[in-house]
Amino acid sequence: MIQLFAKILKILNSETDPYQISLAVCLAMIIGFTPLMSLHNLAILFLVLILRVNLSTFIISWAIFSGFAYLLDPLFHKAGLALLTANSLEGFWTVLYNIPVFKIERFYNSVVMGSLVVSVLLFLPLFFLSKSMVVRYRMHVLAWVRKTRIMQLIQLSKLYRAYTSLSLPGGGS
Amino acid sequence: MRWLRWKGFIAFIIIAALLMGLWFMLIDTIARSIMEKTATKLVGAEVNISDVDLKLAPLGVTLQGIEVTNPNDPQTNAVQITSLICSLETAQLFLRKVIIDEMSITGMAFGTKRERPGFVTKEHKEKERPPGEKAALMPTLPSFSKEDIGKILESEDLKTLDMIRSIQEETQARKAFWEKRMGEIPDKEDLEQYEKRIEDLKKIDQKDPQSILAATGKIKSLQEDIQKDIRILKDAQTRFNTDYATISEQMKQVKNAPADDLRSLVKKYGPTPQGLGNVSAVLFGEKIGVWVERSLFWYQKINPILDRSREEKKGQKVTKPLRAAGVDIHFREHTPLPDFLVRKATASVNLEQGTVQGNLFNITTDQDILGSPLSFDFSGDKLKGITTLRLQGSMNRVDPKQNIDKLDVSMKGYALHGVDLGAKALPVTLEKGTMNMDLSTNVVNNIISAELKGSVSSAKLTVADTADTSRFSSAVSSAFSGIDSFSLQASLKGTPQEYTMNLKSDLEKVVSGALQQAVADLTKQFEGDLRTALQTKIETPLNSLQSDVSSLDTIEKELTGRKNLADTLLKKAVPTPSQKGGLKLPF
Repeated sequence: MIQLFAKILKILNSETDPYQISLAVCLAMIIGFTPLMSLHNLAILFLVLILRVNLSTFIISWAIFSGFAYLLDPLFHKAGLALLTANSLEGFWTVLYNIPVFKIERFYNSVVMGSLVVSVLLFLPLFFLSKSMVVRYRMHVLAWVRKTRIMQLIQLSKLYRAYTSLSLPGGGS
Repeated sequence: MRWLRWKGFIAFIIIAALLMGLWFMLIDTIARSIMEKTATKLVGAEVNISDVDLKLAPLGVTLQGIEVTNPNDPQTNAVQITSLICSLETAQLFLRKVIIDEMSITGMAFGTKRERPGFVTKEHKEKERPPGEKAALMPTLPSFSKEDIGKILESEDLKTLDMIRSIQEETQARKAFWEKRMGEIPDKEDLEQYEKRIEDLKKIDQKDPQSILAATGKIKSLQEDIQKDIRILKDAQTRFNTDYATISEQMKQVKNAPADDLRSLVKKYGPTPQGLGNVSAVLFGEKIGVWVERSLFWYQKINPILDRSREEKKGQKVTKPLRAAGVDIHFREHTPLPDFLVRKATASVNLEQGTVQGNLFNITTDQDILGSPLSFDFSGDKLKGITTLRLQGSMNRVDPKQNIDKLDVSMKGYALHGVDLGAKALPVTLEKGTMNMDLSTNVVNNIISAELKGSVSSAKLTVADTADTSRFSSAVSSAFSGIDSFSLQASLKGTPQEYTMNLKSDLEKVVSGALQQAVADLTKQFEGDLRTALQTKIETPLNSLQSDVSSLDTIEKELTGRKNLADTLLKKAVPTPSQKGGLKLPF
C-alpha cells in the first residue's frame, strides 16, 4: 500500500505530460468498468500500448476501477437493460446484432452495454478533470507539500525511502 | 509523432502471441474443467471427462472417457461414453454460436461400474423421492394378516362406532336434562308434606261443625295440590318414556350396525375374484415401476435443458447467460440460428445384447429459433437374444407454449431367462419365454400418456415355495405351471410427479378359474378375522353406551316411584268412609 501511494506520488511529481496521465486514467476506466473478455478491451489494450500513455497510471487505475466495477455492476445492468429494451433503439440494435463484429463484442449483454456507455460518457469529462487536477497539483500543491514540516519528516520515513528507491534508475515504470 | 509509441505495437504483438500461446496450452484443461462442472450441475452427480482436445483446423473438439455418475447409485455410471467427436462451424463461433454439424458418439454404455463412487450434489439428494413413496406405487395382493386387518379398521370410518358415539352423546344430553328436571318436579320430600297435611286433617274434632267445615276446604285444597303434582309427574313420565323409546330404538339399530360394517369391509377389502385383477400388477408392477421411475428421472433432467428459461422484457427475448453477469437481450436475426445446435449426432450404444446404432437430429436449446424438433432413431438388428429393436422419438419445443414429446419402442423376439416377476406375495419366475413388445409414449405439456402392449410366447412359469402352504399358494402354483403364453397391457397417465399406472394381463383369466375356490376360502377366513377384530374394537364403546343407557333406568324408576306415591296420597286425601287409611268425615 505504501509503495502504491509512493508510486502515485512519483508519477504526479514527475515530468510526465498530464495528458498522458489523464488518458491512461480514462482508458483504464473503460477496461476496468467493462467485462474484461470483451472485444473493445483488445482495442483499449492496443491503444494503451501504441499511444504514449503512462503505463503505471494505467495499471494502477485499472485495478482501482475494477474494484469500483463490482459495486457499480447493478447500476450498469439497469442502464444497459434500459437502453437495450428501449423501443426507439430496437431497429438500431437489430442492425448491430446482425453484424458479426458487434455480436463478438456482446453488446446485447446488459452489463457490457451499461458499463461501456457509462465509461464512454465519462471519458471526456474524466480526461479533462484528471488533466486539470494533475496540473493544479503540480502548480499549487507540490511546492507547498515539499515545504511542509510533515513532508520533511516523511522524507526521513519508510515512505520516503520507498519513494526514493522508485526514483532510482530501474525503479520506475 | 509525439503521441505514438511504435515499440508499443511490438509489445502488443508479443502480448497477443503470449495470450494465444497460453490459450493453446491451457484451453484443453480449462474446457475440461468447465464441461465437468456444468455437466455435474445439470445431472446432479459427478461427471468426469478423461481428456478434452480442441483443434483449430478444422475446428472441432474431441472428448474422451466421459463418465456420468448415476445419482441414485453412485457406484455405477448412468452413462459412459468412450469418445465424442464434434466438428464446429468456425464462422458461427465468432458470432458466439456453437453450431456442430456432426457429432459422433462411440462406445456409449449404461449402468457400468465406476472405479470409485461419484459424488452426488446436495440439491439432488434433497429432491430424491422418499423410499416410502416409491413403495406406495407398487401394488400388492390382498393381505389378510392381523396387522392388516387392524390397519383396515383404523383407516375406515366404522358406522357402528359413529352410531355409538352419536347415541352416547344424545343419551348423556338427555340424562343431564332429566337429572336437572328431576330437581324441578315434586320429589319425595314435597309429597311427604301432603302426608303431614292428611294426618293433620285426621286429627280434627268431628263433633265440631265449624272444624268440619274448615276441614272440607282444606281437603279440597289438598286434593287440588296433589292432582297438580300428579299432572306434572305424569307429564314428565310421558316425555321421559318418549325419550327412552327413542334411545331404545337407536340401541336396536346399533346392534345391527356391526353386521353392516362387516359386509361393506369384506366387499371393499375382501379377496373377491374381481380383485384378482391385481395379479398382473403384482407380477409386473414392480419391474415396470422401476423403469418408469428411471425414465421419468432422466426425462426431467433433459427437460430443463431443452426448455431454456426465457422471459420477455418490452417485447425482447431475454436469457440469463450461464456464466456471466447481467442478462442477454436477443434481437431478430436475418438468418436466425440457435446459440447451441448439434445438427446430427451419430451414436453407438453398447448393450449387453450388442450394439445399437442411431442418430439424433437438431439437439438445441432454442428449438423455437431453429423451427425443428429434436428427433432420434435407434435400431439394432443383430443383437444377442433380440431379433429387432427400434426406438424412435422426438422432443418438440418449437412452440415454447406447447411441449410435445413422443417415444415409440418396438422390440421383437426378446429371449427371457429366469426373470423374477413376483414380489413376496407372489414369487413367480419366468424361467423362459420370448417377448414382443410395443411401447408408445406421448407427453403433451407435462401430461404423460403411455401404452405398452406385450406378449410372451413359449413361456414357462414357476412359483417358488413359500412358508405359506395355504390353499391359495398351491392353487396359484398349479395355475401358473399350465401357462405357456400370455399378453400384457400397461397404461400410464398423469404427470411425471403424480401418475397412475394400470396393468392388465390375460394371466388373470387363465388363473382366475383355479383361484375361485381359494378366494372363497380366503374370504371366509378374512370375514371371521374381521368380525372378531370388529367386536373387540366396538366392545368398550358399546359397554360404555349401555352403562349410560342403564343410568336412565334409575331416573325412570325414581319418576315412577314419585308418581305412585302421589297417586296413593291422592287416594288418602279422598274422604271415603270405607277407604282404608283415607280421611274419615261424618258425611
